[in-house]
Amino acid sequence: MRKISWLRVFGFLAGVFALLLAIVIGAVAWTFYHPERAWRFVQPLVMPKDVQTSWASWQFKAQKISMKRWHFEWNVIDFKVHRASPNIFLQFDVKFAGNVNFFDPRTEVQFENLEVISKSPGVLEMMGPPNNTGKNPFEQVESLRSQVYWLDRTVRVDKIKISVPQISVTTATHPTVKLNLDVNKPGKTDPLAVDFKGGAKATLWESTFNAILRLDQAAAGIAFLKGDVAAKGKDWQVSTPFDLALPEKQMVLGYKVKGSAGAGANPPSGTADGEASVQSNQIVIRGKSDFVNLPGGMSSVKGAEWALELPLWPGVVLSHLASHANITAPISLTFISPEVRAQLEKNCKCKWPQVLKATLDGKVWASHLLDGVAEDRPVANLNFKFEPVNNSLLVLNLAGELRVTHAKDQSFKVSPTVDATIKFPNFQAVKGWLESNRIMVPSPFDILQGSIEATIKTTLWQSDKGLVIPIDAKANLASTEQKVVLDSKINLYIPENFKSVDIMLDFTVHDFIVELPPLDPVQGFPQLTKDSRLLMQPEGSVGPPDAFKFRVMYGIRTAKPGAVRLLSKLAKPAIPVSLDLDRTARGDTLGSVRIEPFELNYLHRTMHIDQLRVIMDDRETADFAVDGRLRMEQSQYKVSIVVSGSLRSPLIKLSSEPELSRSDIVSVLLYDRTSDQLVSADRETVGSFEAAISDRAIGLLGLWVFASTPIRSFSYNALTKVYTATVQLAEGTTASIGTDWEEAAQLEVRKRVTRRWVLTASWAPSDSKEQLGKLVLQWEKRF
Amino acid sequence: MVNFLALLLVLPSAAFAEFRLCDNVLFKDQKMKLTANEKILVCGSSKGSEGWKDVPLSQTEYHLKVFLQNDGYHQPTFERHGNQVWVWMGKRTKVDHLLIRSDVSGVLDPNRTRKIEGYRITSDLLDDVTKWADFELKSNGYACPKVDVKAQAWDRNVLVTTNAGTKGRIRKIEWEGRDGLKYSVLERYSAIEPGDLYDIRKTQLTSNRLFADGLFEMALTQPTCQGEDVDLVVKTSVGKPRLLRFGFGGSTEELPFMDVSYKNARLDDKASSMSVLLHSSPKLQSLTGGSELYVFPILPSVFWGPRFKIARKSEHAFEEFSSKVGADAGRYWDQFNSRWHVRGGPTVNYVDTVRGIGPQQSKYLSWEAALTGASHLYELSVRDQYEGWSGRLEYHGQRNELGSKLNVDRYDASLKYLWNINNYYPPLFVLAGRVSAVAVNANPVDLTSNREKLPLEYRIFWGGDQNLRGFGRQNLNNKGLGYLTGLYGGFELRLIEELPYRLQPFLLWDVARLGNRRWTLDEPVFTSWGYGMRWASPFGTLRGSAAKGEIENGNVSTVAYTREWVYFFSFGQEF
Repeated sequence: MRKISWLRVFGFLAGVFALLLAIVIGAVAWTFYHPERAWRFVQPLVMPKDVQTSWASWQFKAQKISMKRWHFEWNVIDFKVHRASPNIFLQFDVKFAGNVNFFDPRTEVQFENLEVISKSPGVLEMMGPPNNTGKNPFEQVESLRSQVYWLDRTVRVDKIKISVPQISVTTATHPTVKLNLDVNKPGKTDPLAVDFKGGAKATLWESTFNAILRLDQAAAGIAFLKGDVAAKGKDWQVSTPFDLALPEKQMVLGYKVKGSAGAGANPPSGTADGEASVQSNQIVIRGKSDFVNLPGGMSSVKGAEWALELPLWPGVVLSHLASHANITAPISLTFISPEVRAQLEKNCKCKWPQVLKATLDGKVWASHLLDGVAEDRPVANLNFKFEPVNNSLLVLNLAGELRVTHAKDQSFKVSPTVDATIKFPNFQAVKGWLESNRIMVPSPFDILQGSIEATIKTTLWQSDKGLVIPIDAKANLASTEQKVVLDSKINLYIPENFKSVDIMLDFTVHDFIVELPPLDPVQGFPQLTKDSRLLMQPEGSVGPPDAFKFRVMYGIRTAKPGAVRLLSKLAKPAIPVSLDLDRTARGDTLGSVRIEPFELNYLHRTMHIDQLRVIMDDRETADFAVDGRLRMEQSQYKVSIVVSGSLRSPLIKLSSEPELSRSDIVSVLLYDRTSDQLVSADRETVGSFEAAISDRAIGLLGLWVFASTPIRSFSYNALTKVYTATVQLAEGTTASIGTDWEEAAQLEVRKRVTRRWVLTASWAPSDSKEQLGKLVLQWEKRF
Repeated sequence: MVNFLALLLVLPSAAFAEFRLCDNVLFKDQKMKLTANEKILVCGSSKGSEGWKDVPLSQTEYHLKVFLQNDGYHQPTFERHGNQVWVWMGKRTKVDHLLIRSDVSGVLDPNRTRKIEGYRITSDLLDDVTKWADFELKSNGYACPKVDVKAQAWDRNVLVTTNAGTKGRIRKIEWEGRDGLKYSVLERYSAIEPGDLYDIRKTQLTSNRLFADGLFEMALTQPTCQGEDVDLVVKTSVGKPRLLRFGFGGSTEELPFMDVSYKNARLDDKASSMSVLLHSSPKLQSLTGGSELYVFPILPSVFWGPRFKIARKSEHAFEEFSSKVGADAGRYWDQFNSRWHVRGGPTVNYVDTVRGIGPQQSKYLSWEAALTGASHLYELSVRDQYEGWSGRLEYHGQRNELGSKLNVDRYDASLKYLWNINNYYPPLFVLAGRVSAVAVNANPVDLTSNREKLPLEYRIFWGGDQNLRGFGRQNLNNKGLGYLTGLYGGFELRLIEELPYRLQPFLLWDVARLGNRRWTLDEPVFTSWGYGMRWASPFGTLRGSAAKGEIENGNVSTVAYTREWVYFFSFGQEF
C-alpha cells in the first residue's frame, strides 16, 4: 500500500488554490478592464435569452483603498433593455459609486451614490393569466423579512436617486397603467430614511403613493414603512395612511381609509379603520366603517364592523380553503326626518326604527379569483339579512343570498337571490309621508285607503342588459266611490356600470274606478302642465350628461273590457275604458285606448258613444289615429258622427236618418232644426262650424261640447285656425269658448228674442258713400 | 304734485291686502284670477264628489305653479302654514328681445312687431308670436311653413325658429261643394288665380267674399304644398237661395225704421241674383229692387243689372218724391292686388220736390256709371281700418237731347288711403287721408235763379262727419241751393292698441273749398280741427269726435255759417 504524502497533498491543494485564485483574480481583473465583455458573458446567465441589451457608454473604475477595501465607480449611459414578446423596453442611465469590504466577516457594501435615471418612457407587458403558484403571503412575508434584515445588515447607502417618470404596464386582464417612481435619499444627513414617491395612472383612475422606508426599524418589530396611498376616479376618491411592521412571525398593516363616490355637494362617502395581519396560517383583516349619504343622502351607516379571515396554504398564493367574511352594519334611516318620524309614529302608534341592522355573512374562496378554471367555481357565497320591520305602516322583510362565481370564460357572475316583502298596509299614512315631503299624491287618489305590496322571491338573473330584479307588486285601494285594484310585474334592469336603471312595468288593471274632476266643459279645460315652450333653463342643463338615469317603460292592460271606469256627472253610468298600451324605451306610447259604449248627458242633451278608439302608433308626431262612432237623437233626426283621422285633426263624417245635407246635419246638431229654419246669424254659425270641421280645427272634445251644448254662435277664423263659440248654459246664461275676444264678444250681441226673432247689432261696409250702423230686430226665413 | 303722483303709484301696492282664493290658498303679494275650472284643480270643489272635495297641498302648489308660469310669473314661492299654502306670485318675467332664426330673410322683422318686447312672457304671448310668424310667412308665398317659438326665461328672450321651405305658386284651384254652380262663379270672387304667388290673405279674401255673398253658408280655402306648387281647395256649402227677412230697428240716420227684404241669390247656375227691399222710416220710405244677371255667354264675368227705386225722402231742408228705373252692365274683377267693380247704364227718373228747392214733377233720362276700387289690404283690414286704399269715380249725367230738360253732369272722385306708419304689427299710428272732389257741370243753369231745376243729387251739401267735421251735417248748403264744385281733404292720426278696451284716440283735420259755379272753387277755405275717440266695440265701430270749424277769408256767403265746436257720435261709420 502506497503511503500518502501529506506534503504532496498540501502542495497539490496549494497549487489548485493558487490556480483558482489566479483565475478569480484574472477574472476580476478581466472584468475590471473589460466590463462590457464581462456583461455580455454574464447576461445569458442572469436574464432571459431573448432579452437584448445595449448601451452608449460603459465606464468602470476600481480603486484600492486597502487590500480589503476597494472603491468602485460604474457609469452606464443610455442602457437599453428590449424584449420583443412580451414587449419590454427600458432605457436609463446608471451611476454607481461605492465601497466594498472584502474578506470582512460582516460583508458590507456602502453606496456613496446610486443613481438610476430613466431617459424615455418604458414599456412592460405582462401577458398570461394570473398565477396562483408561488409562496403564500406568510412565506412571502418571511422572505421579505430575511431580505430586509440582510439589506439592513450589509448595505449602507449615502445617496440614492432613482427617477422613473413613466413605465406603461399592460397585463392580459387590465388596461394599460402608467407608473412613475421617485426614490430619494439626499445624502448623509439622514442615513436611515429613504423617500418613495410614486403614482399610477389609468384611463379611469389615478393614484399616488408616498412612503418613508426605515430598514433599521424592521428588526425592532416597529413600523418600518410609513406613508399614504390615495386614488381617485371620475366621481370617486379614496385615501389612507398606512404603516407596515414586521413583528415576529407576522406582518401587520395598519390603515385608515377615507373615500367617497358620486358627484355633487354631498356624495356617498365613508371611512374604514382597521388592520390586516399576515400570520403563519391565515390573514386576518378587521375593521370598522362609517358611511354617509347612502344613497343620495337617504341613509347612513355608523359603526359597521367587518372581518375577513383568509386561511393560508403552503406553496400557493391564495389558499383553496374557504375564507370567512362577516359584516354587521347598522343602517340609519336618515331620510326620515324627526318631524316625519314623529308623524309616522303618531299614525302607526308604534316606535319607528331609527336604525336597521343589516348582516352579511358567508364564505369567500379567494384562490378562485386567480385560478384559470376549467369549470365554474364559487368565489363567494354570502347571506344577507335586514332586521325586519313590522308595524301598521310598513312591513319589511329583506333577506337573500349572494353567489359570485368565476366562470370558465374567466368572467365573474353574480347571482343574488332575494326574499323580500315590502308592504304598506296603510296607504293614507304613506300619502301623509309623501305629502309632508312635497311628493304629490293627486286628487282623487289621495283619499283612497288600502295597501300596496311588493315582493321579490327569486334569484335575480343576469341578462345582456345587466342585473334583472323581478318584483311583483299589488295595489288594493278603495274609497266610497272609487276603487283601484291592479297587479304589476316590475323588472329592474341594472347595467354592470350602474349608470342607469331601466324599469319595466307591466300592469294588469282589474278595477280602476276614479272620479274625474267636476270641470265644466264650456269653461275651457285648464292646462295641466307647464307650457313646453316656456324654457326655464337652457336645454341640456338639467343635469350632467352622464348623470344616473332612470328609464321607465310600461305596459298597461285591462283585465276585462271597461275595467277602467271614469266617474263623471256628465257620463252615465261612467266612462268605461279599455287599455292596451306600451311605452317603449324611446318614449313612444304604442297601443290603443278604447272607450266602450256609454252616454254623455250635458245640458239636457244626450250623446251616445257607440265606439271610440285611439290607436297610438305614430312614433314621429304623436298625433294618434282615432276612429269612432257617436250618435245623437234630436227631436226628428238621428245624427251619426263617424270620426276618423287623428286626435288633433279628426276627420268628421256626418250622416242622418232621415237623410240630410251636411249643413243641415250641422244645423240639427247645433240647433235641432234644419238650416232653412235658421235665422242668418245662426246660419253663419252653422257655416263657421262646418268650416272648422272641414279644416279639422275642431277636435273631439270640441265636437262633443258643441254637439251636446245649446250653441248660440260660432265663429271660425281660417287665417289663425282659431274658433270662438258662445254656448247657452242655462236660460240667460252664456259662456264663450275660444280665445278671440273680439269674435266671441261680437257674437254675444246677437240676442235671440224668440225662436225666429233675433236682435242684431251690425254694420257692413258697402259701395255706397256712407256706412250705416243698424240695430235691428229681425225675422227671416230661408227657402 | 309730484308727491301726490308718487303716492298714487305707491298706494296700490301698499294697499294690497292678502287675497284668500279659498280656505287652502292665501295670496300674499298680488291677487290672481282663476277660471272656475282652474279653481277646482287648485282648491277642490264642494260640488265635487268625494275625490275632489279637497285637493292635497302639493297638488295645489303644482297647479298654481303651472298657471302662474303660463301667465308670466316664473318664480312664484310657496310656504305651507298648517293646511294653507301662502303664495307669493313674484314679478312677471318680461320679454327682453325677440330673436328670429329663419331660413328665409327679410320676411320676419322683429323691429316691426309690437306688444312683444317689454311684455310678459305668457302662453298667450307665445301664441301671438306664433300667429304673427306664421301669418307673415304665409303672406309672402310660404304656404306650409313650420314655426317653432320658445321663450327662454333665463335670458328673457323669445326665439322664433322657422322652416319656411320654398315659395310656392298656385298650380290649380279646385272647388268642392259647388252644388251645380259654374266655375266662373268662383272666378268672380277669387282674389287669387293659378300662377300667383301663394298669399293666405288672398285666399282668405276669397273665402270672405264667398261667405259674404249670402249664397254660401260655408266657405273655406285649404292649401296643399307640393314642392314649389301649391294646390288650393275651396270648400263651400251652398245654402238655400231665397231669403225673406223682416225687421225693424234704428240706425245712425233713422229711428225707427222697418225693412222687408227678399233676395234670391241663385237664379241660375251662374249665381245670378235679385233682391227687393221695402224700407220705411220717418225720413225715407222706399222700395228698391236690384239684380245682377250673368246672361252673357261669352262674357261670363259681366252682369246685366236691371234696377228700380221708388222713394219718398223727407229732410230738414226739403221733401222729395222720386222714382228711378234703369239697368246697368257691370263687372267685378281683381287686378294690381286690388278689387275693382265697374257698373253703368241709363236710368229713367221722376223727381218731384214737394218742399224746398228743387225740380217739381220732372222726368228725365240720366246716365250713371261708377268705378270702385279697393286694395286687397284695405279689403282685408276693413274692420280695423289699418292700411290700404279705396277709391271711387262716379258719373251722373243727363242730356236734354235724351229726354231731359237739362244738360248736367256730376263727377265725383274720392280716394281714401290708410298708412300704417312704420308698418308695425299691430300698428302704432295709422295716418288716414282722404280726398274728395265733386264737380257739377250744369250749363245752362243760372247760378242762382234756376238752381231749383237741378235735382238734389246734383247739388253739393257738405258738413258732417263724412267730410267737414267742424260743421253740422249738411250745414254748408249755400242757403239751401247747394254748391256745384267742391274739393275736400281730410286727415286723421289714430293711436292703435295703446289704451285699454280697444279705445283709439285720434286727431283730425279737414280742409275744403266749395264753389257756387261750375269748375270754380270760391273763397273761403273751410277747415276743421279736433279730436275724437274710436272704439272697435264688439258689435261695430263707435266713433265720437269734437271738432271746431274755421272759415278763413269768410265773406257774405258764409255769414250764416256758425263757427263752433261740433260733436258727432256715430255707430258703424268709419273715416
